[in-house]
Amino acid sequence: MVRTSEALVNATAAVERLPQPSLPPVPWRDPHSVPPEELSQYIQRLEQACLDRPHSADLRTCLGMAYAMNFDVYKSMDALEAARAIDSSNFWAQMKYAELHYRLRTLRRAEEETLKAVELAENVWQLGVARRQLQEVRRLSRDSARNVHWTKPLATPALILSAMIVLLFVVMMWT
Amino acid sequence: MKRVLITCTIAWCLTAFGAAIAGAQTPAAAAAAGISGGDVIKGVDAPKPEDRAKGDPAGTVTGTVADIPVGDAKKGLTVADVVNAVGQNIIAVNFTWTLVAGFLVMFMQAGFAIVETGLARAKNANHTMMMNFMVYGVGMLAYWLIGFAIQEGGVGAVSNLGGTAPLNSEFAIHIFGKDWGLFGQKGAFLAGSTYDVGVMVMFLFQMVFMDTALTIVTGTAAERWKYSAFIISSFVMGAFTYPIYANWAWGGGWLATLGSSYGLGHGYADFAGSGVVHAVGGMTALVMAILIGPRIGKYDRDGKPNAIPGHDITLVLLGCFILAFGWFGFNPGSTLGAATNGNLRISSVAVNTMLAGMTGSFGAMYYMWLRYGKPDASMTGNGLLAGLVAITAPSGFVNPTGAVIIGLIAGVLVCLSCEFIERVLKLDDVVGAISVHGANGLWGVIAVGLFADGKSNYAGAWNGVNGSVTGLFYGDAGQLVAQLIGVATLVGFVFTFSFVVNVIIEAVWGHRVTAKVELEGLDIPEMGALGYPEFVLKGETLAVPAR
Repeated sequence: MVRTSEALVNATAAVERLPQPSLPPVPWRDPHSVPPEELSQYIQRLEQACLDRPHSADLRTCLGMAYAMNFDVYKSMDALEAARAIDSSNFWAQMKYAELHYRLRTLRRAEEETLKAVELAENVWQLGVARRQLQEVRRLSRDSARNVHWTKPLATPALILSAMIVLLFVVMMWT
Repeated sequence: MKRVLITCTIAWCLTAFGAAIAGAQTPAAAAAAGISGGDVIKGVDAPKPEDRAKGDPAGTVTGTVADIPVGDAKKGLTVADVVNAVGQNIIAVNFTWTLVAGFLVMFMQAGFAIVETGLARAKNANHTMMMNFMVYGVGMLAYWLIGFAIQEGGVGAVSNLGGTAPLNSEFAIHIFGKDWGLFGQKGAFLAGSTYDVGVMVMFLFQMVFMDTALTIVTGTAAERWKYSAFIISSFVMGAFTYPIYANWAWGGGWLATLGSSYGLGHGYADFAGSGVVHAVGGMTALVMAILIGPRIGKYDRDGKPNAIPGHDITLVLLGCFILAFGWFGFNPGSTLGAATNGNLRISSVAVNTMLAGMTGSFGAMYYMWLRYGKPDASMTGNGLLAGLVAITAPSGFVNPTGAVIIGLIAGVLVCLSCEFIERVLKLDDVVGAISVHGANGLWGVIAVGLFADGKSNYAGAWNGVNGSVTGLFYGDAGQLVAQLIGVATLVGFVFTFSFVVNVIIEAVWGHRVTAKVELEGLDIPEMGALGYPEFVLKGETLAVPAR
């Protein structure tokens, strides 16, 4: 399985962006319905399938979901990002990527990604799925303690604080 | 009139004999004043029983000569009886003050518990609460077995507590012509000669301080720390890491004697523990953040941090208030007494504590408001705590202006430090404990060396050096040097020691839960029960929903 994973990582870098059919070539099972003891084997088959069909965003999405079910978050993130890169208009790739962030409770990011999924919805049902998730993410955001998302440069306030301390030092020594 | 006479007589006796004892402390001085312990005091009548039976709404006949125990009933009340009562009253006041302060500090555990739980995700509430709950017991056990002896085993007589004379064995090495105290050797199990009332007070007060240091670490490593590893790590910290540094600073160890040995001010001065308690906790938290790694999802592959919000801001701010309340035990209680020896300065210590907490919260609130457009609640709470942490070491040595400045700087520093740790160091600190306790603990230690105004006077000396602790701004550069040596020791020794200990635990036991446990939430896999069962049972699926 490790060997397949490595091969997949190498192959992913070489994937070209091509228009893809919206349905997967094989009717893969919903990873949620795969029993945990079979999950490793199922993932291996999915990885192989992705190697065989490197341009399938749906297969990558399915693989990303399977990784997530297997608690392998960063592999899941990679697979879903690859799916999005292969087909940037694929609703499910975007939706599942957003859902992964929602599950991790990185809510700010989850909201951004779910909004993108809303934009990509192709029918009322997909729109409903995305909106429900968006609603839940926003509810959680509202109910939780705001966690600071540090976005501004650190140098300026650090310099100001240092200058204030130096000034204080001079004043205290002077007096 | 009679009551006035009785009151005046007793007051005269207490004042005269109390002053004689407190001032000279020698029988010779008493003899020189023409007073002998065996002298019988006459003419002081107790209130009549029928008067007492009427009740005492004004409180003027309660607490009279009748309440002074008489050694020899046949002989009557003697000078020795009064003097003994005076001495015992001083110690009783100090015991009561120190114990009540210790009880307040113990209640801070509740504050820490809900601050940390509120800043964690709901799926880890039970686990986070349980760590905070049991760190109290685990730490206490370690301290009773080993830690207290290491820390206080050689502290010697603490006059405020009536002596604590049994704690008289410090292991020291002799280098450069000076003794370097390394650890105490008496007091394990509180057995033998340390089964002593004064030692018990000391144990209780120091134990709750130690527990405060331990609980700092749980905040940083929350949401991914294996419960069993937490117990082992906390036990080691309560038994060794904390007590060793505390011995050097408070137990008569080498940091405390830098003044008497090398003329560096009054030696390392840390009134209530910015360094000993908070920086030790902060350094260990830093070690844990490095070793245990960030929570899954905290950082993207490219290292960009994601905000993971806590689940209950009301818990967070309530916890901060509880901590601020407990801090009135932490700082003023560190006089270890309220009577004599300059201990009336407790009022100043308490006011300094309030002021620094206030300016800390202001500093953080305005910083966030200016930078991010909102007065962020969690960072304002952290600002309050940062101010309190920073004033902990200087609280007994600085004036209110100094306290205000120290707190204000702490409030800004905590925001900068949080940002630095998350964005530059790429460390995931769930509650900001490294910044609140580590960075500001170090700032507090340095602040003593800058702002101590030389006006405090605890029995005329500190760390065996006559006079008052005085910082650079008031004329003593040596004190700042001693404080910087303390900071270097915290960073150099405490960090390294904690790192080695926790690397061993990591190798043998492992600190981190599996990804499965972390993603499901630690409550069920680690604790067997959810913190909020009725809130979390929504369907969780990563699958495509059915059409």
